[in-house]
Amino acid sequence: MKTPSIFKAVNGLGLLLLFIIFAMPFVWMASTAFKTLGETLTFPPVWIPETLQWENFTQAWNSGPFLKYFFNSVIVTLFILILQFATIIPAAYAFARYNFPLKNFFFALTMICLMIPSQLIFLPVYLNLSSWGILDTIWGLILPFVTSAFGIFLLRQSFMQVPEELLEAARLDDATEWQIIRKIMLPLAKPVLVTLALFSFIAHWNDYFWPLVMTTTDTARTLPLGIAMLRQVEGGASWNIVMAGNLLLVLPILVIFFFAQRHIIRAFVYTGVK
Amino acid sequence: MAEIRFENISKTFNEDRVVKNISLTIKDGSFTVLVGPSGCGKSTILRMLAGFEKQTEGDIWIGDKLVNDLSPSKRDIAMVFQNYALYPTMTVKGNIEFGLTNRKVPKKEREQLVGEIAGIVGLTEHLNKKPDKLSGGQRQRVALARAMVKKPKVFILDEPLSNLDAKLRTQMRTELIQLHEKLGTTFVYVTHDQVEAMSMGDEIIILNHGVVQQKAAPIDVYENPGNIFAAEFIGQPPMNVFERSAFAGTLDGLPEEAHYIGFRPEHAGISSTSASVPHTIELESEILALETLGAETIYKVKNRIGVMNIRSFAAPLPKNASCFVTIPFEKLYPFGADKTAGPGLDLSVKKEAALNGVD
Ligand SMILES: Nc1ncnc2c1ncn2[C@@H]1O[C@H](COP(=O)(O)OP(=O)(O)OP(=O)(O)O)[C@@H](O)[C@H]1O
Ligand SMILES: [Mg+2]
Repeated sequence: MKTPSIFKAVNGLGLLLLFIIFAMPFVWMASTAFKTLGETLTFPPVWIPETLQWENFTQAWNSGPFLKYFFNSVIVTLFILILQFATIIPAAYAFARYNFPLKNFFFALTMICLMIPSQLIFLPVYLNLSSWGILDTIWGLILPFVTSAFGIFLLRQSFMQVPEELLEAARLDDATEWQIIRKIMLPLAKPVLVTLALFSFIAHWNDYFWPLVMTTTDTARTLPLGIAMLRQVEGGASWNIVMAGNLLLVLPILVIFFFAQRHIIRAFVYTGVK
Repeated sequence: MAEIRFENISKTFNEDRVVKNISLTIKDGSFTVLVGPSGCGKSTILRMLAGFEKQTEGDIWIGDKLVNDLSPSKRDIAMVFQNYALYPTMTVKGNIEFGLTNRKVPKKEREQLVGEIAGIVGLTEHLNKKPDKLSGGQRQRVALARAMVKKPKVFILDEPLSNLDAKLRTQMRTELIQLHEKLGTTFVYVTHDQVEAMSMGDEIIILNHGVVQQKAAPIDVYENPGNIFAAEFIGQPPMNVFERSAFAGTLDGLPEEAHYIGFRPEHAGISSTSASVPHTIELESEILALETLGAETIYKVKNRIGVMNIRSFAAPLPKNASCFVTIPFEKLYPFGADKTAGPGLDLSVKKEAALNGVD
């Protein structure tokens, strides 16, 4: 009787601690976004601002060409997403379902890509794009990410679980390979596809490093760069404005997370089963 | 409608010769059952016929078409898979319709065909369900409907009933037989269950290690097994087979060529009393074990020939009792040195001579 309740308490306490560790920065960001500049500097810190400073958001938005950044971000993430699917799906299908010369070699190569940190190869990629003359353009932000080794790996796993008879039945039913992918493989891999889309979207929506390297002017800059630049305006950093910008940045992700939650959990359960 | 011909078909999977030089003709409109133990190459043969696997050597004909290089969908066949292979994300209707849609059959015609077939297999009220909402038997019917709707020349069925429970299996067996009669199409059916083979096929092909052991009508396979393998494979319990030497002193005057002698458990009699019947071997035996199945009893007995199974429809005898086993002489099956039944092995011609040896 006694031990379980202690155990429960410890367990609950642990969970609470974890929650605080994860939620704290987020709550801090949200709270700061509504403060006056004065409130951001007080000690001890206030958690709930006296009045909600909604104008922080307009100020953040207006302190640079944010509409432009926003569109750049949307276009870059969307194109990356579409192009990734266009390359991942056929590649995963081929690796999962075909036999071709050097298949294992090519798959090993793909897996190696998964293990090399991007910081290691950014220089050669940069030089490459520079020789193509697409530095500081949207394409320079998109092209390095048109495929994803992780995506190929994960989708291949999921394609391999589809029983061979299903494909044979479809072939007897006069389905083309493309129809097999579209009508049979993809519907079965839906949880994985949703996960991949989310990963890709979050990674590239939030990406700071590569746009920082690639862009020199506002023509191709994305939201994370714009937000980071908020710090540099007006001499000292007005954290309330920076945090308001940050909140704007993560808002789309939060919205998507909210709606896709069910799929995400299922995707992790699904990939965890085998 | 099509006759199927295999000409010198072999299949090798990395060094492993799984199908060995098979030549076969499957009659147009027949219900031909391929039967054999696990791993003997049944599925491989079907898959070569369907075009999923390419034979290493030989030609396959369907009707008057050489199909060696035709893709599966061009062979005018339909297949029912062991695990049904229904498209899980499509409804029953979607499953049945998929092939038609891919063939660009107009919607109206499609609707009509699907409706018709669904009626035949009794799925009309389930058309909008997904396969995971169906029972095993219903899934089986969807798989059948999906095959039927294409009106193929040949139906290929790979152990289609093995995932069903015993009762449903019996029911589907009858339904399949009726379906075959109704359609009149060639059915090629694979099973490792000899009861299924005997009850469904109008022709049975017994395979072992990728070699055809016998091809005949079920009753012929039973009455005139082509070799010891066929003799032991068909029938439950299997035929008792002994080397010639076991019969020394019991049965003299056997033809030279008879190296093995067999008899079916149900052809022997068992009784607690001796009754010297003419034209019969009588063996004093000891009952080692018995299985009482209600209508029949299966004994394992030991006597001077060896240990053998006896199947009897009489009231069961007590265990460990001694008894007399009788084997009518005309029910003995002789086999040659190569384990086949061949000419010159007919015991009946030497019946009288051999009879003198009965003690
Ligand atoms: N793709 C393959 N690669 C290598 N070997 C294979 C392949 N397919 C089948 N085999 C081998 O061929 C032999 C025959 O297999 P097959 O599936 O035809 O047997 P089966 O008679 O259908 O058996 P079961 O009753 O168990 O289904 C087996 O030894 C199997 O291991
Ligand atoms: Mg098989």
